[in-house]
Amino acid sequence: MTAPPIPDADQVLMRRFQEGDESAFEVLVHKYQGLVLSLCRRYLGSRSPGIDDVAQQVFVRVFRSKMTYKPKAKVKTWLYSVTVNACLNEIRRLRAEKNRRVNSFTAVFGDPSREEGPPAFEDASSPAPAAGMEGDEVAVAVRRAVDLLPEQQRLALVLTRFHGCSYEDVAESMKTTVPAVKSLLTRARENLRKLLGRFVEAQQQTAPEGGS
Amino acid sequence: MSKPNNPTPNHGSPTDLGLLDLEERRELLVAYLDGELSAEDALRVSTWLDDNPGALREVEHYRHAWDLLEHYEDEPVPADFAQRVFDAVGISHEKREGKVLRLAWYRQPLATAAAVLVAVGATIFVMGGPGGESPTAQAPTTDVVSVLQDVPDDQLRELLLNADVLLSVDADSIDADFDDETVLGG
Repeated sequence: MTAPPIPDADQVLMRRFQEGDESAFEVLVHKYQGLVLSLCRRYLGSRSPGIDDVAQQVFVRVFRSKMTYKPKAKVKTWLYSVTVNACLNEIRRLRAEKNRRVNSFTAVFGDPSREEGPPAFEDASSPAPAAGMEGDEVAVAVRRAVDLLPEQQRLALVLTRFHGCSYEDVAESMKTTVPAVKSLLTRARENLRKLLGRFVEAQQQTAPEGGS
Repeated sequence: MSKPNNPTPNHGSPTDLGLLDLEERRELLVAYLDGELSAEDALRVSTWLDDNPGALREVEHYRHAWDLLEHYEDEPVPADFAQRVFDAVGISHEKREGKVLRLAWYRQPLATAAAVLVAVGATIFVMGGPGGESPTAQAPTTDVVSVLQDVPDDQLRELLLNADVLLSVDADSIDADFDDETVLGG
């Protein structure tokens, strides 16, 4: 026997919003602005100067595309999915801008004979030149390590670690499969372990005393 | 957190952990750390780890790296973020204010009642004034109106907007207030 699913508070809000009640949209913005901004910041990292604008675009899209929401989906997951799309668009935009700049440079100065590719996995434990000025060494290294992860790995990690999403929710938000998420997270963990090697070792040594 | 029905679809049973290749075993261990295995499978992995210190060390490395992420702190939401969103989608300030005004529909009748109350209070004051010599005594209503006209716009607006406060003030205090004024003194 399967009882019809009871709509949660967010789904009720979305229904009211779809029916034209703008105050329901206002409640959703106030409720989810922190989560959306947080996801944009950690997914885009230091790549985009206009993170707030991207987050704003997310809600503008939600406002304009409210009818694309299907009541069976969790509002939060749907919102994550809209956010991921907005971030991907921003990444594409930045990449195109970068390519334009590189092409202009090449046209003037010739081919720099360097291949574009994923960032080399340096050890994020060794702080960047400006890091010392930013305070907490661990915090800076962690931020850099997350920034250095390939996009998909970073997104899967951020959704799981900082937003408490299950593999299924991550898969839905990223429009992929659970096995793919599993694979992404495994590689993300492995890369993170390498990137933060020095701190991981230090923690490993203190773990028996710390009971970690 | 929801658990997949088959947590190890590509790897067979966790009891075969020793037979898995490196990548498959890592995926299983990460799923174990993420709490994505069923209780039964998690117990199997845990038991297997007890007998495999090398793998246990690997798991601890993953766990410590994951724990370090707590140092990645978030920033607060800008105070005007929601407002910027509302502006962008055209939910204007006026429209939102309109909602507030609609909710406070009772303000207008209250303001009217306050005006009447002020008029009555002023009339009582004038009628009971010394010797009834004041010209206002002959035409109190007109004079109350003229008094209200004399009140500067901003004060009158304030007076009407705070009608609900005025309504709770007793007549004596109103008289006292008016005693302080020089407007009617002449």
